[in-house]
Amino acid sequence: MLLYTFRRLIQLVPLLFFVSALIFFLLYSMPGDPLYRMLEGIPNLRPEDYERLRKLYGFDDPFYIQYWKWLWQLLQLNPGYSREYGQPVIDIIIPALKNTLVLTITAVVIGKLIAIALGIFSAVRQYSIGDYLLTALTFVAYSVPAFWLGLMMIILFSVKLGWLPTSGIVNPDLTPGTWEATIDWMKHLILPVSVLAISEIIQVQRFMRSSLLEVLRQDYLTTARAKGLSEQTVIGRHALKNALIPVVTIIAVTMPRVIGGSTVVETVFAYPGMGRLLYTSVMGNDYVIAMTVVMILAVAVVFFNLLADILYGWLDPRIRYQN
Amino acid sequence: MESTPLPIGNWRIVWRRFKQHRIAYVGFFFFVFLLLLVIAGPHLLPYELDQVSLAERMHGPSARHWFGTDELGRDTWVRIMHGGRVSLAVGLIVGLSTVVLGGLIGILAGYVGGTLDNILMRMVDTIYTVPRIVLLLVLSKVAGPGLLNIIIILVALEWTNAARLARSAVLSFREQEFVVAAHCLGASRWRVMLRHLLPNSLAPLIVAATLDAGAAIRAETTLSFLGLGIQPPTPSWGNLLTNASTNIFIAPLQVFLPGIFIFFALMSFNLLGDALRDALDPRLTKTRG
Repeated sequence: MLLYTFRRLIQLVPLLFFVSALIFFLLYSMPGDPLYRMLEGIPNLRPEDYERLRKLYGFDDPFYIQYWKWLWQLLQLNPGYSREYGQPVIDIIIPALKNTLVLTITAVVIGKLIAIALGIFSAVRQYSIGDYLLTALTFVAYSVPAFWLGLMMIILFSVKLGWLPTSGIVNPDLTPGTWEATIDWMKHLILPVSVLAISEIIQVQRFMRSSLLEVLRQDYLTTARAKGLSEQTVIGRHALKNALIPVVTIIAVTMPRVIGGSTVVETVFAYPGMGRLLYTSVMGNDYVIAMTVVMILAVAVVFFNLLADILYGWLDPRIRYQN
Repeated sequence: MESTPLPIGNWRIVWRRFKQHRIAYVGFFFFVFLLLLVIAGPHLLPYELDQVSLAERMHGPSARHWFGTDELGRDTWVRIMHGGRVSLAVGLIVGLSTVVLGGLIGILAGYVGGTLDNILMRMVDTIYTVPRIVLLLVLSKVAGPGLLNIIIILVALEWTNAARLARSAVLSFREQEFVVAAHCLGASRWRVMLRHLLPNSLAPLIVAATLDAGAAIRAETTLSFLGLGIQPPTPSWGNLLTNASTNIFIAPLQVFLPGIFIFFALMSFNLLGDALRDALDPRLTKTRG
């Protein structure tokens, strides 16, 4: 198991290397010289000064040297300097990362718990009206584009009912740390979290349903029922344990979709996280930030894929990895 | 998710299963309905796509303007129908091309194997390592806006699904008798791939084409909404929403309408994909209602 994990970890290194090269190449090939943008306001800058600075900062180096320098600094957690914000990239990324973690973790915990509960209900009441209704509803939720769902929620809860704020994360009128500010912050979270949770419910609900149905057919459950255990104990204690194994794995598998989804949701709700940062930096040609955000998201995806693999073997003793 | 590849010997069985699938009817009906609607739709009202009428700005629905008008007095019905032509066309073109491209690459990788397989599959892995929408954001910025660019970008990313499916299908019957027999009869490698391996991997590819078309519409409308995909004056369901959402407080109906069409399009492709998957899966003997 340890050896397997280690081998998978080793395989990830070239993968992330390829991604970094791809992203650097894409954004390197964009028009616009980062140095020029930084200096353009200075009145008596002579062309020869500009050339000297270009040399000094290595902008005349060939592509692969620039890439190597960037990667080397990134590995030392120095992603560079943003000219739009006039700050080190890391100072911009950290608060955004915090916000995104709050958003995605809340959405995943709430969304997946609801999905598991719905899946259990559907399996226990297979072919009932409730089962059909749930299947249809999750399908509808899946087919609604997330950005439009966000807009609809803004119309309903912000425009019509006036219950919730449309965008952002903090109300500048409130002093941070007070109860009002905390409640206001939570209000800002409700809509983005809901959209993110709703659009990703279907996989886990379907998986939970079919997994539990499969387990419910097995002989050991007949034994449990024959012992005289209540249906609640049979399902809750005996069936669920085995049925949850593949579901836990699928939750890890769907995480990249949640990460991608948060990009759209954050942009719609102007939620100051990594996704919105990526969007604004791509739109504003701030490629140093864009590259760093993409790399962090790629590392997250790779991490969850690895986690899915490891969890699968770890939770189910029947599965063993050879050599 | 990857079902065992199936020798679909008998298309009639598949067709019968598909017909018995009630959900399939719903999906198919929605799809044909939407297609006919966007073809005929713009001709049902006497307005041009960019016909501005300053006297009728931001009107609600009426007999003259079924879906009302936008902030320049342009007819929303006509604009949504034109946008639908673009968005549906993107979906169909991308769905079809990803499957042709991905299918061929997947069959090649699975059949030839070795270094070529390794290189192609590492490419697939690399593309899968970044969330799709994130790569789309970056790529569409690099490539610049425009209808053709967005199609190329979507195909460049979405071929990976079909390639994986085709490859795993080919791997499972590469060593089977009918392939060996074809070789013995002197069939060339291309002939084996196109005449024997391709028809046998069609089932998962057809499902992939349907789901990819839906995914392409979702991606295109999302990107266009964010201002990175198809740009005005070319209408798309996505960029109609960008425009409408600036007036969300005054005219929420204008935000609702383009989205409900995207929703119906996505649902019809998803329903069709689901139904096709059931119809093409030989392990399911009973048809579900």
